Amino acid sequence: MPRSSALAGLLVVVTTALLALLFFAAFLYAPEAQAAAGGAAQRIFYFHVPSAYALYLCGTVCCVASAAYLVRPTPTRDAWARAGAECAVLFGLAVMTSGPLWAKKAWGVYWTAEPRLTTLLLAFVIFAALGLLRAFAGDGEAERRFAAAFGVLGTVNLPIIHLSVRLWGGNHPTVIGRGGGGLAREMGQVLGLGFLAMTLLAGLLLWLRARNALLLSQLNDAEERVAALEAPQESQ
Amino acid sequence: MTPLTMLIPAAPLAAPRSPDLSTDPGLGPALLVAKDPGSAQPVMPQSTTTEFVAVSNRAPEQVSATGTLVTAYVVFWCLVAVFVWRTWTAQARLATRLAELESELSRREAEDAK
Repeated sequence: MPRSSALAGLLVVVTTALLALLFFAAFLYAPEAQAAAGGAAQRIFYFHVPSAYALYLCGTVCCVASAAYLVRPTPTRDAWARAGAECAVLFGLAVMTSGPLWAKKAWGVYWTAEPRLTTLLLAFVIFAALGLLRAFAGDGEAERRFAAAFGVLGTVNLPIIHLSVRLWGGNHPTVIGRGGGGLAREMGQVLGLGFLAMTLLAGLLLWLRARNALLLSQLNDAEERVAALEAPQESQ
Repeated sequence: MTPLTMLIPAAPLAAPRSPDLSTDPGLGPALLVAKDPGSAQPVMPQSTTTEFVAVSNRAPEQVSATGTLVTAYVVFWCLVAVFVWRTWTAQARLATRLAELESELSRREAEDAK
């Protein structure tokens, strides 16, 4: 078995185990929060916040790989940029489905035009547009460079999401960090587990998608070589 | 409670926010107490409703916290499962097609060499 496959297998086992542990810890170990925070629905927090963090992580991978591609284009850099955007869409979707469900219980509404929600929606739309561009606009050099520039510029929005509550206020809770009231010890432990599990999940998915993108790039090269071999025969 | 202190209901979230909102340790919008007497203005829900229709026997709307929690987890797991499954099948398809093309290229290059 190749070393990379063995490593991937190990990563799959550890990630699955941590996600299962997170699931049980969130339901059974973490204490229930106050009713104003959503009561039992507050347990969504343990994967909602780590999913948002994974979105930042994947967006950062997209940005760094895109910038590296613009400096020196290689199929590997392009593959990681593409993988970053695709995984950012997945985690964005996870945040944007879990958040409104929690908000309905805690705030009384699924959605509101609040700074963090609005900037998050914008980031999701940017990465989704990037994913659609890569899926449907071809895989030529021009498309790759355009997507790389889009990836770098689109990621500028990520720090804005993070700072939006501090800059413009809004309804989002600020439990952790400056001005926050903190968490119960068990809640902090489960949240830490959530961050660890989501980091591994993001790493695994990024690796899988980058491998897909590299395979697709190799396939396009092979098709071009076959077409080049067929062209002289057809002209004869 | 002073006369200028008021309670803001949870629903009209589109209304102007309180300065205390960003530092509220919990989910502030559920129940906010405006502490600044100068800013205590009645908050009106913004609505485009133009008429009211009487209803009878309307049960109070309730959202189950457990139902919400389970739904959120199920959606998350489904999203990840679909993503992994699609990635897995796409990878298998791409690898098969690539192997076919590589063998085709090898065959043609061998024919050209003859």
